[in-house]
Amino acid sequence: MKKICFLTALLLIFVLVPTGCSLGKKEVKEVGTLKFVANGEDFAREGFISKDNWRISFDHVYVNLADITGYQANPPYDAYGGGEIKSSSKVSLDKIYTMDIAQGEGPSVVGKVENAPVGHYNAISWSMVKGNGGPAEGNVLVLIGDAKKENKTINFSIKFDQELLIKAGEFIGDERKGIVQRGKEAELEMTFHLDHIFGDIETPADDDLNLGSLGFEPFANIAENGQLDVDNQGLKTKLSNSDYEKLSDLLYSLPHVGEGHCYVEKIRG
Amino acid sequence: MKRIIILALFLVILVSPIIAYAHGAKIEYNANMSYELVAKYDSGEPMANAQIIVYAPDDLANPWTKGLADENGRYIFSPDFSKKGIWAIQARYGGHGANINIEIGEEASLAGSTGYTWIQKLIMAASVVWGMIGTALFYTRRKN
Repeated sequence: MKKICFLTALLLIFVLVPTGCSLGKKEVKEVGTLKFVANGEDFAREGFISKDNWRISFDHVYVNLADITGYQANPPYDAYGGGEIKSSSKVSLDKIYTMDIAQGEGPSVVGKVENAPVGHYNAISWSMVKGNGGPAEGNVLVLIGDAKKENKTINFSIKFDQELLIKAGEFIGDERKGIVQRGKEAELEMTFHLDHIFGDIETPADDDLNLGSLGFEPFANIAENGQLDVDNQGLKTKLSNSDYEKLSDLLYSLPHVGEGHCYVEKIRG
Repeated sequence: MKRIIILALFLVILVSPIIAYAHGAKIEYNANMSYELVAKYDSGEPMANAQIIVYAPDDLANPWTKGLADENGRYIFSPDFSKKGIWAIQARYGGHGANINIEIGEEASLAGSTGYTWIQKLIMAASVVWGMIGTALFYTRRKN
């Protein structure tokens, strides 16, 4: 009996001591900073000429962003296939952000996560939601500016309120993004291609972008006395059915990750 | 006469390899597996002359190679198969871009996990120690 007690005690020492050491050891977590930015590119910041020759300049391009999450996706996310993003690690921003992507000289910083585990954040998701306050309250996207053609000028304020959920894989652009290293900062970008709505005179007329875009003429046609202040319901009423449907579809092609396409679905309210 | 025959045979033996190898040829081979990629727009049109950027799994930030697709959007590359993991290939042209990931090597190398939780390790350790105790008890049992 004495021997059994002794051996059992020995067992406990063998098992518990290493376990205790293991539990007591602080796991060193390597972290860096992941910065999220929103980018309307030069189209939003400097303006451009639409496919139908309207010179468009933006004073403001407000977009309401929420549920912004970066993922170390494994397997890499395929935006064409859609579905859930499976990841080994993810970090997110938890507020609604109203960004004016027409301002500044480059992408606008939305927020930072300062304790992001190191690794490659090769996928991102976010929502475009109706803001609860601020200049884009009740809307998802607000375009404010003017369009000029020949001797005509139209001041516009165009508002969209369809909420969208966006999921995307890796950023495609001049550099690879989302690689967080210990103590360093990396960024992920939510890009918005306004030329998809209006077309771009600098792109060939038979390019998919121009063939699929609406141009500015349909908006000019519903302006009154050089003013166009319209929300989603107004667009639905005033535009032709085909133009409104086209515009609704184009909103899905607005979000990108650099040049990479996204999986976009409606959020039903 | 016998000597002449032996000498003739010797000569034939000496010369015949020379004759045999004078027009010899050989083929060597290396298994260089390549990937042929075709970049297309959503419309199905080829992404002619697209810029191709290839990232190997051991250097995420810097391209392993760059190149151009042909007029049919076609690009062929031979990865270094010793670099196991996910290779990312991007195609870009005129503001449009696409990305594809190709996995090379064993899936296990991608998981990056040792495979056992601390509970599993604890049970394994306990089993080993209890086995030792059992053995000790067996040898120290009372003899009848």
